[in-house]
Amino acid sequence: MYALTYTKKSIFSKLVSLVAKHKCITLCLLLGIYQFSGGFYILAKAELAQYLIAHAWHKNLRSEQHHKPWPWADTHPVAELIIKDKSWYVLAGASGRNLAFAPSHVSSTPQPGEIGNSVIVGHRDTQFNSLKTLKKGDIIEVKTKYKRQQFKVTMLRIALHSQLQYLQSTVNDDTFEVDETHLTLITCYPFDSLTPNPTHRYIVRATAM
Amino acid sequence: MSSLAKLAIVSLVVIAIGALQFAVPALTHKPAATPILDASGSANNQANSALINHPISDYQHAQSGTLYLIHEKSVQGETVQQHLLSPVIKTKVDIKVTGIVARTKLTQTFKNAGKQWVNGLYVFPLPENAAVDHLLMTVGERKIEGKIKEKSEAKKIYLQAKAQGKKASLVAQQRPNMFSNSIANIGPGETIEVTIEYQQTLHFEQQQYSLRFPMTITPRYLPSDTTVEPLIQPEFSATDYHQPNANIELLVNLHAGFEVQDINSEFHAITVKQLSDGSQHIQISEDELANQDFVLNWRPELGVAPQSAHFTQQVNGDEYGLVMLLPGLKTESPTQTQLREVIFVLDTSGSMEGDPIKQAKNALLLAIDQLKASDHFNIIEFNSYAQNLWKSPKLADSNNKKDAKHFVDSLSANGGTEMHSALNLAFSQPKINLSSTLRQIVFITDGSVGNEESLMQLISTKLENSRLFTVGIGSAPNSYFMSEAAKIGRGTFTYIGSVAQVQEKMLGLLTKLQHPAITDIELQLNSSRLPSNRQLEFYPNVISDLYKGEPLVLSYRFTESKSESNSVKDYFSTVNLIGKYQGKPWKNPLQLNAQTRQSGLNVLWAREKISQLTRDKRRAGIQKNSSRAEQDEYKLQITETALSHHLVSQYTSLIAVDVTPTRPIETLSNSKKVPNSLPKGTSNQRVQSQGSLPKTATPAQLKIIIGLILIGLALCMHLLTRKKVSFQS
Repeated sequence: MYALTYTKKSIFSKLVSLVAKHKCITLCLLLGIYQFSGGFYILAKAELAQYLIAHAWHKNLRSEQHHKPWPWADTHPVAELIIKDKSWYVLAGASGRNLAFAPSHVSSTPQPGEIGNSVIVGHRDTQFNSLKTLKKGDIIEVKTKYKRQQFKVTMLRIALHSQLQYLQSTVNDDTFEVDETHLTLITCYPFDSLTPNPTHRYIVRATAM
Repeated sequence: MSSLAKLAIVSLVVIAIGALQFAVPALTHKPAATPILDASGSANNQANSALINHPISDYQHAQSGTLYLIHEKSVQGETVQQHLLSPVIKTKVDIKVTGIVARTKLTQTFKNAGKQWVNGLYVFPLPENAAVDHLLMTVGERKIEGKIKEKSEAKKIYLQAKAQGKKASLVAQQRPNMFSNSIANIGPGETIEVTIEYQQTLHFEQQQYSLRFPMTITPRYLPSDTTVEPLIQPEFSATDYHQPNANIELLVNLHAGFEVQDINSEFHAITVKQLSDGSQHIQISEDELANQDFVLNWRPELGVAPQSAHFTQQVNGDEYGLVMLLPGLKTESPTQTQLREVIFVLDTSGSMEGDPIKQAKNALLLAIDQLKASDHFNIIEFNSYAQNLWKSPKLADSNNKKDAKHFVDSLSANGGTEMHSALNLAFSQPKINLSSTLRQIVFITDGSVGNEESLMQLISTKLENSRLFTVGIGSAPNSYFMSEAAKIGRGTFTYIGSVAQVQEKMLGLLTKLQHPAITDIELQLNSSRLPSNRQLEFYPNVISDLYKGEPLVLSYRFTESKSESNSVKDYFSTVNLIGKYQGKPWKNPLQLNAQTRQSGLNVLWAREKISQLTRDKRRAGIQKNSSRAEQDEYKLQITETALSHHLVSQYTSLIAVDVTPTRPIETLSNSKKVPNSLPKGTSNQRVQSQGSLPKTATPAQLKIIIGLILIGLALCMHLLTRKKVSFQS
């Protein structure tokens, strides 16, 4: 027993003395681990939250009430977005917090699948990274509580973050159609860049088929 | 030993490369990105490069009036449109101001400098309340008047004319403040003159009228101090392009209806001439370069008592009118200040996390600072449930203010958005003094709620004598909900887009709150004298409170029955505006002697009606049980109103078509090198940005890279120190 405490103590004191000796190294290491895990956490959050949201979504489908993906959440899933063979659950309200978990629907625009321009934004590093592979004419599928709808990509565009007209209903390619169902996906541009706050956005506009 | 150091360096490099590879998929996934180009082929390559430059050359985003010439060419069976810029030869602006109405006639001459037949798209911004009602296209000797048509019908006519090689022009509304004019079949070297007329009410604030003309409607030019070089120079001859626009003629005929003083222009040199009929003739100086909006201000001569102006016009037997009323509120009467009770409601739900809560807190702290010692106040914060600072509002003395600030500082954003209970709590706060206090609720939120309709119902049923002011926070707040809530709550909506704006915007709102207002304004008619077959319809139909220095502007229509001949005056002599000012009843009989004839009032009335209908339509659309038929009904009403008043709206367009085809049918436009970017030129403009699109980038990759580099560094240092230690031993 004595021996045990002794060795334990010695490991601990060894560690302490090591830390005291190599302050710089330890600091560096700890900072590195902190940063790394911080970054990893963001990716993991985006990946894992989808499971919880999926659970809430399936409950939503069965009942009239909105189910929250986790008890303290400020949102609920509104749709399922299928791009190519990947699918994402969309949360209501495009706040910074929601975006960390899933693509989010901008609440001031019509619901996905309704008449008008429904806008969904997502992070370029996580879910909406796949937008870069979209081409004109590709099919995006949206499943809402009531229906399943297909959209055809009609426009790919890079815009400045101040170009709010993409959130509006009336502006579209031809400026004439008013009462049509549109879907706009927005993410940051350029893709695969390290800058956290770029000034440009990538806009994908799709029209219901 | 040296081998150890080498090992350390090598391991560092390896780790760094590993980190980069992990965090920058671009390095490893490059082949994944290229197939798009390969698949779409060489033709789409061009389209893709155009895509890159779109943020600047985006034709939807014209901050200024710009003509784009469009080539249509067929690429793999798909029509690709190319947009080119056209030089404008001449611009003539003629503004007639009568009272509070300005009618602007804008004539521009375009030239197709190229060698092909092209189509033009002219995009121009106008003031939010502008009503476009006239289009005239002049080709050579022929003048073609625009006709108002239903939007889809107009488009059909336009496309048909375009296909037949006829010249045509189509004016459509893209957004309430952005219009487009498509012009078909402009021949090589041909010039076309397009005249657009629109009407607007003037802005009046702090005893001053101001008229703003978006000067950048005039041609763009490259300012000499351009810092950002355009990526590709426009193809049109540079001399044409760099030429300063000496060809702007801007004339203002100011017929204010009263003695004016202090006529000044904010950014341009002007010459003012008094004409014999009492009106002012204002001309912009010849050599003036116009890169900034033209803003003209003037004020009525001092000592004019409560002001009102009443303009009428008769169209097809109906009487249209515009009433402007400036209550003569004495500013120097602080003896009896209005007692106020301010309830701040702060959204601390999870959606506010990050910048929004910072902005909101700053705004709230500023507001607390600005409270007067005689005011009462309380704070409610809400997320999953609402919570108030005190049970009932307290006096805004320094102690209470300090407590409140502590409370605000301690708040953080988390949880749900239970707006309903927060509003309930705010409305049910016990009142200190029932009769004389004015309760103002300042509601700071990003408005991310789904149950808008029930909230609006709650506001309208529980409001009573309170006023609701909404403050929108964040990058894309639900501004529709908030402006509607403010409208129902008889207050105003303020939008704060960034932390930097907090100070300016909040101070604006707070000064408004501090000054007494005329409340509960109603238009009182002696309806008993009104024959039943005559109808009065006025907009806006809910009159909001009037604050210091704000005018009340009402647009009305009085339907005239055919048999009767007596004028509207007989009935209007009994019209009163009643309201409450500083707790006392306030009354203002309409001064009808000052009735002035004015044209174009029906257009203004129709524009107001359309914006009201648009709001109604939107609101109806939110309701759960809204039917398609109901929406169509609104649409029909808007279309009818616009058609009968010759007005461009979201459902109607102006169309002008030349009779004779001019373009030989077999001539097709061929492709041309396309300038992809526009000259900057917009840098000096006031960009009316209302926030920004949501941020959609994470620092994840950056963090991972930094982390890995740091870990690598630590490893290296460890190895190096071990080397040193072993050396010492």
